[in-house]
Amino acid sequence: MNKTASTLAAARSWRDIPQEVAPRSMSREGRTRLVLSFVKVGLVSVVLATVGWAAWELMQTWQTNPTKLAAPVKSEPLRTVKLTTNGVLDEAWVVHRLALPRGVTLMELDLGLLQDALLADRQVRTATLTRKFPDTLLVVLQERSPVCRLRVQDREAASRDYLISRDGMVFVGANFDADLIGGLPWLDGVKLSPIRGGGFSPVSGMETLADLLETAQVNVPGLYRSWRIASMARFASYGEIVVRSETVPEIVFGLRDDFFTQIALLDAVLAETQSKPVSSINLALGKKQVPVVFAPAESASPGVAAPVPAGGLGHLRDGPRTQPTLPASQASHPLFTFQPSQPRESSRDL
Amino acid sequence: MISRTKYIGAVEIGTAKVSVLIGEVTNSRSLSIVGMGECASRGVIKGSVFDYKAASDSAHSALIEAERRAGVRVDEVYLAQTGGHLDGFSSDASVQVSAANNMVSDFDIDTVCNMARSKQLPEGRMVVQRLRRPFRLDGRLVPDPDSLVGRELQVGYFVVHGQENRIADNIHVIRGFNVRVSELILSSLASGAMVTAPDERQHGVLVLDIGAGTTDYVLYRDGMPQVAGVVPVGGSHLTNDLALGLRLTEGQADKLKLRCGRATILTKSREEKVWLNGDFAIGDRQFPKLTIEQITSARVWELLEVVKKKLGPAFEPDRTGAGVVLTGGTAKLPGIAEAAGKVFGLAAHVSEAPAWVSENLRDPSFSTVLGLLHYGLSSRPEVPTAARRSPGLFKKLFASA
Repeated sequence: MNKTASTLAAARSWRDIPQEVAPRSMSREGRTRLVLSFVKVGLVSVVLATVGWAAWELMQTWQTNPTKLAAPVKSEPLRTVKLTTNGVLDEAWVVHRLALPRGVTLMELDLGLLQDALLADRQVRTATLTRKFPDTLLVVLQERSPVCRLRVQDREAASRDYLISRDGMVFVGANFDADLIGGLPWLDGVKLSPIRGGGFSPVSGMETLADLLETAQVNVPGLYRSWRIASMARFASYGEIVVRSETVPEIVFGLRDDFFTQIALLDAVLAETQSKPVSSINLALGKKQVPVVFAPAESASPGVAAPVPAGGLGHLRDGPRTQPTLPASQASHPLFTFQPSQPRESSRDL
Repeated sequence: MISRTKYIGAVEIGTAKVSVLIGEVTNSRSLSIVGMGECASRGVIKGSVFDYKAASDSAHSALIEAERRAGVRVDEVYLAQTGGHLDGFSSDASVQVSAANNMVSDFDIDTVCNMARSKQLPEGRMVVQRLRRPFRLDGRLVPDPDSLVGRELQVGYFVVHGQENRIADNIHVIRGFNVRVSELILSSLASGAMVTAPDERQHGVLVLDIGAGTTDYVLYRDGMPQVAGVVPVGGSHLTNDLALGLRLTEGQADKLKLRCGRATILTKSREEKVWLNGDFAIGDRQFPKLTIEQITSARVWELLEVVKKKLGPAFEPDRTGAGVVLTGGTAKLPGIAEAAGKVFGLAAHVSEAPAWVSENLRDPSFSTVLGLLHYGLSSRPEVPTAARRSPGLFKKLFASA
């Protein structure tokens, strides 16, 4: 039983025997099976190729002209537009904005164009449209929230109010609560650049201003409510934001300290000086020194509800400089009050 | 859950008949026999094909019948391999465990297995099957040494090999039907898996599959096959002996063998006679029953002695607790279990098919083809341990640590 075996390479196994057999060595039944197997493989290949070609054609049509697919697909007229949003826009606004023709079917809708129509309003940050068969269009929106407002006068001297979001987008604003809009400070000292197709290019520096306003709104809401104008005129050059409130004509914020510290200092200064009228508080120099300028006694009642700079609240870069205006409730106050710089106290360490 | 159904054929090209079964395997677990085909074998002597055309015709007829009964087509089959050209040898190897903490790793297991398997065969021979014996770690039997602690790891293989051209002939007969041979399984292993229970294999059992042209044997111990082989003697030799001894044709001798043949002598008197045909026609004559029994029993005893001799020292009666199990067509010869018991000094019995086997397949001659499906589905070809268990991401990440 035991044959001589040497310890070399592994021996060949029956699996090394090739199982290919020439058709002439096969029986008649074997050859029939061989032909049938070829036919089967051929048929499967043809079916797969057909399915692949059909899928490719479908994809091409979908990408180039999806409305061509409307005819073969049984689709009912659009009856419902369902909106999901994180903001204030409603379905009526969406329907108005999309301007859908009457009797249009779901498959006839060009979702790309409709999405562009929604995004044309800068209040809409993102828009997603989905067909839900048989007759519903699902619209999901993400909206921008305003951080301040802006009045612009065009060449025909007509003024129009806009809202500005944290990312600097300028938009008209729809469906916002009037009290909410009325509580926003006006923006000053920015130059708007009209862009092709309407609207304006984004305003720079709004992230910083939004941080300041949010910090104030959260920590000192009473103080924030008295803020009427936030000026960015010195932001690019000096990194300063000038706020004009009902009680203080000029509050200068800088970028040296964080806004929370500066607002805390402001609150402390106002608490210290509540009996005296103040015309200017400069928080931009750091927390060690806060120059405070007191107003002269005869002009101590500034009543500066909303002083507006001579340059206007905002003006078009390429358009005529326009006369800045205030809302009607504040229009009776002087647009800009110049205080001579004769402080009774030059500065004060806090 | 989607059930996956697969149809597998089992083919035994024997010396007397070709048997085909088609099994329906569901989810790789449950097996149902859905088709059966049988055909008288031609072109095969002692389990080897000598006439390709005749052997192909009979094998393909059986396959066609099985497919017709099952109503399905099979694309691959398990094929039984037997024949006097088969031979075997033991190959053992041992390694010292490589790890400093003496814990056996996949590397050690693969090394010792590769050493035991890497034996070269003489020209023209090729491996039919390698039967791995249990691992031994410092002398103790372990089913899986992975992660055990020891110093020396041993393993042994019993390698069954055969003539390359005869194995190829067997495969090409099936390929001529445009069906692939997915597994080539020793007939003795197939039968053994069918007619013995796991606890019998654990205690030690010898299985003898006595067919028409060959006798396949396998010795189990510790739950695994230890030795397997083929003796090119079978029931047709009994027929041939009767034909020569009594001057009969092969057909007459075969009928007489089936009617009066015995593996042990029961008849006492020489006067007791049997008629050849019993129809009292011209040519019908009487033969002493004692003579018939003497001729058949002598050949059976000789056959059993040859098997015992081929087993050699591997056969230890005290380690073969479950005795001898006889199967195959010739196992139906009366008195053969008694003869086997006396030759091997053990209890012996003729196999009985499990209860789940239908009535028409309970005959011992179907044990090989039934076992092909059973063995083919329950065992998998041995692959290196490292390939079987590829390291996971965690191991790869910390491989350099």
